[in-house]
Amino acid sequence: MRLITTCTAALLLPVLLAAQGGSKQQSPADLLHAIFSAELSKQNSAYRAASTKLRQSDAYKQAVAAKDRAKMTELRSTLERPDTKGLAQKAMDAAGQFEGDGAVKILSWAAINGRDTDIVKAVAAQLQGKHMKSAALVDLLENGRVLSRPLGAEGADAFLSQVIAESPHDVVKAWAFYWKSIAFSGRDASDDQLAKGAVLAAQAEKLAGNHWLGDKIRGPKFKAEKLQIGLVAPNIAGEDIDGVKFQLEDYRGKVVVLDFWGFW
Amino acid sequence: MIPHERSLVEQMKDKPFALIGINSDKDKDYFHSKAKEMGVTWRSFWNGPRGTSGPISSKWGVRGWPTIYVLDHKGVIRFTGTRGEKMTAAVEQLLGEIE
Repeated sequence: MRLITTCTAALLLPVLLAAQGGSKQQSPADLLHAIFSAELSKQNSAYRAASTKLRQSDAYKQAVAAKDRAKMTELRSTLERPDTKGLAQKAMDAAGQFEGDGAVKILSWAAINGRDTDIVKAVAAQLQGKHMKSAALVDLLENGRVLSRPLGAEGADAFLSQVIAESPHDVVKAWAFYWKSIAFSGRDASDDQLAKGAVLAAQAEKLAGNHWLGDKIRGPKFKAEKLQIGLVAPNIAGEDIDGVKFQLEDYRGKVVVLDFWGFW
Repeated sequence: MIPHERSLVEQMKDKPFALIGINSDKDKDYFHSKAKEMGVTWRSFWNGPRGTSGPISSKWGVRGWPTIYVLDHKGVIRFTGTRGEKMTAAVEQLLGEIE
């Protein structure tokens, strides 16, 4: 089933390209990106549903009751996991049909979602070879965490340095500075490393402008200055899960528990 | 966590109290199916398609999940990180301060 669906995605490509015609709504690369995302989302849902069903099965409950970890692992191994690597490989193949930003978007999707060292390495090499000036690099750099393990500390740093040297886009460069700064912020970081990290973070914040990366960098300072016991909590204005607008201040007069959470 | 919060909301339903989430699930469909399964009735801001990297948690510098703030009826932050029975006790104390 899975094979058929992903092949369909690849087969659809020429149709998508043709359908594009004069319309400027969504590029073929965006459409393909959406198809890959939808397929992955479908596989994730199927996996979660199967996992829930397994946990409710008698065999699994018995294994849990008996604390039989080997049996639990064995039962879980029968679940069909999302084929992230296979999808990423197909995305990489498909990326060859695009130029410029379109190729970068599809390659980035593969690196972010493939969860595979070789794919990340191959994507990084392609991007470093001919896409360093693309604005679409922001997709990958927003998820820059995926680079560090496959490329290694030095490889990741070289990638980010090349982005900073060659990209004409402030937001792209801001992300590169940000991930370089993160590399200096580990638990074991020395004072010297922390100071270097702070300099890089400041450069990132400056380049980020109104992009949300700026908020992310300012987060710890915001927390230290505004989120202390005894201070009025800053307002939050947003939308609920159904898209209805509301704000924290609507609840003045009530005791409020504010809970940052998720099911994941 | 969710079972406790569900019972807290139920217990305080006639009081001037609200549990407000900042939900960081990327996938709204997944949220809806789980919310139904787990009996989540309270309102949440949605942190957007970036999930835990969404705009609200980025701005608030949230590093760990869950992160909890308990506010009194004037909107003042009074407790942080309170969970379970401590959360219930904090809410009861602050409800006692109204009037």
